[in-house]
Amino acid sequence: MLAPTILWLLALVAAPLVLMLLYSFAARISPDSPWPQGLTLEHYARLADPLYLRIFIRSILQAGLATFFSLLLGYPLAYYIARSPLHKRGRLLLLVVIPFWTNFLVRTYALMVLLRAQGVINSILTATGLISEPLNLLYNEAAVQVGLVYTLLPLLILPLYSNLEKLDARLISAAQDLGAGPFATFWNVTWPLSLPGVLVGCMMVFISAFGMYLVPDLMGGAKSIMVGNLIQNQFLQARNWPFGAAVALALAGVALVVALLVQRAGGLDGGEVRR
Amino acid sequence: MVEFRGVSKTFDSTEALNDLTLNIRPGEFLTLLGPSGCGKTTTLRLLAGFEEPTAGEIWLAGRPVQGLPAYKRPVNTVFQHYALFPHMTVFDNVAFGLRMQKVAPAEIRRRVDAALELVRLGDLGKRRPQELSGGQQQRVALARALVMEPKVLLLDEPLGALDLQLRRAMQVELRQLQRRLGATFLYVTHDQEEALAMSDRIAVMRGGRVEQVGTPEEVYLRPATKFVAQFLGEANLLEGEGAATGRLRWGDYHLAVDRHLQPGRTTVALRPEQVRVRWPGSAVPVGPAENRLHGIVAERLFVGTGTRLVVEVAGRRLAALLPAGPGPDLGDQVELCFSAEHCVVVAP
Repeated sequence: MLAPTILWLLALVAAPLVLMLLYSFAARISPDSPWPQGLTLEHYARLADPLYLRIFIRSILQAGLATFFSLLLGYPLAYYIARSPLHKRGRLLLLVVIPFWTNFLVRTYALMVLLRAQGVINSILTATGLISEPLNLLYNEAAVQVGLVYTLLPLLILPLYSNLEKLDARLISAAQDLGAGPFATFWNVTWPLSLPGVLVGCMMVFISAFGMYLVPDLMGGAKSIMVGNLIQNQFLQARNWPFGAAVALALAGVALVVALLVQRAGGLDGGEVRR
Repeated sequence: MVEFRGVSKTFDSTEALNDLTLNIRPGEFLTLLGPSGCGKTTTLRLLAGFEEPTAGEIWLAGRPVQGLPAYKRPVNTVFQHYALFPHMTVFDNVAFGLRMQKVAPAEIRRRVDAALELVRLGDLGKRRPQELSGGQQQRVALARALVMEPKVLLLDEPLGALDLQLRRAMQVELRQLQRRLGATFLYVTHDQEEALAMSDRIAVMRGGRVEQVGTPEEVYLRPATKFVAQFLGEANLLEGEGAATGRLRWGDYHLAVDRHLQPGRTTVALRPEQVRVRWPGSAVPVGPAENRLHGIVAERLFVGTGTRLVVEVAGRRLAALLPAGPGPDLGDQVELCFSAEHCVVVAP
């Protein structure tokens, strides 16, 4: 019964990945043949160029920051939904998921309408006389942050919700019974028990943000280029497929390392976090 | 130690507790006994601080506790399914409350070790709760609550998840522990045997009200209501009329009961084990002023400690418990003898 699945994965996941791997070691590719020619490590060596290294580091920082803000915003929301009466939870979750189902591009443009110089926020602020000049809300790193958090938040909320929903309410009662106030109860019981959900949610946001192309492309300035944009740039503008492939694999490598770290911490076992 | 003064609790529109008045004495093992939904757990949760009463007052050690959140009340709970923290060791579970009180680490170590010793888990401190058996987890929950030296220890069906043998052993252990510590225990159960075996006093509850409070002997031997008579063990309920003689007119019989009756409908409870059965050839004696009924054996059931008979007397059925040994057969004519003092008049 698994054969179709395996075939599907081989053809559409493994094969392109192998092709990318081959490209990343290719000395050159010719327009007449799909097969890479020659063998070299120069593309990987080029990754160490400070120009590209900076893009990687900036991407990691941006993704890390987006993960942090998502957690800050998403945790209370996931907690609130998980502690709502059962009949309300479905509706609340739907509210989280609906934007997720909306076309990504449309959502990003909608956000730009809010933030741009003649956008909704600036118009209101100007009209009320709070500011005289429109604020620069778009085309900078802060705008990219807003875009990343806005689009990726559900990725954190959903796994965290499913974890918090399973949290035994009696453990909360037990902590209170033993003299723990609301904060102590959260810090000593709720938080440690929700760590697997936190880890998985953060991993989802981090990996997605790290490879994000559309948000920095549309909302970022010239300086806020991220790894995703670099890859796009190499494949489509510079036409340097081998280097693009090397960047893409490096990106996949970082994602893999993050996933492995999360798994090591127990986040993907579905069980509790090991100490 | 604890006083419930006219306490009521309503959830949405359902009444969970209705005008409860109950005193718990210091050092007492008091059991709230009743079927599910009778308000016993609500009573416990009100005292623990997980719920607030809709009306009435709760006093603990001379002070009203309404409005005080659970974490500020000097009571601790042993939860039904233990509610041990799965991410902490046994030691950390037991130490949790003391750490919340900012007790010095050396003192915590001493008291936690003592508590674990008390429940005979001295060497399991480093384990996780999941690695322990149900009985051991139960003891951890007990140690975690006892280490706090609560004014009252609240136990919410703590033995409900254990198998019968272990439950019996834990009943004895809990009771011994309570006596040794001189602690006040408020115990909730729906298991009447457990309540009878362990308690100093039992409060039998039904539908949010207390039906009767008394020692196990009192509630068993002198049930105040029909419900108490039937919930604790088995009881024959004889419904009849008070006769001019002060006896109970029950069918064609006039039965002597535990008091002089007034005219009107009256119900009397009679335990099957208080009924002696005479059959042709048996050597069972008859007391001087005993009630004697005649009937036919309709059912017999061997129950180990004896034989349970159902005897049809003038179209009504009465249960009687026969000690182990010889007995009548199905369809035999028998005589049922019982004294007036065992016919307890009960409220409807």
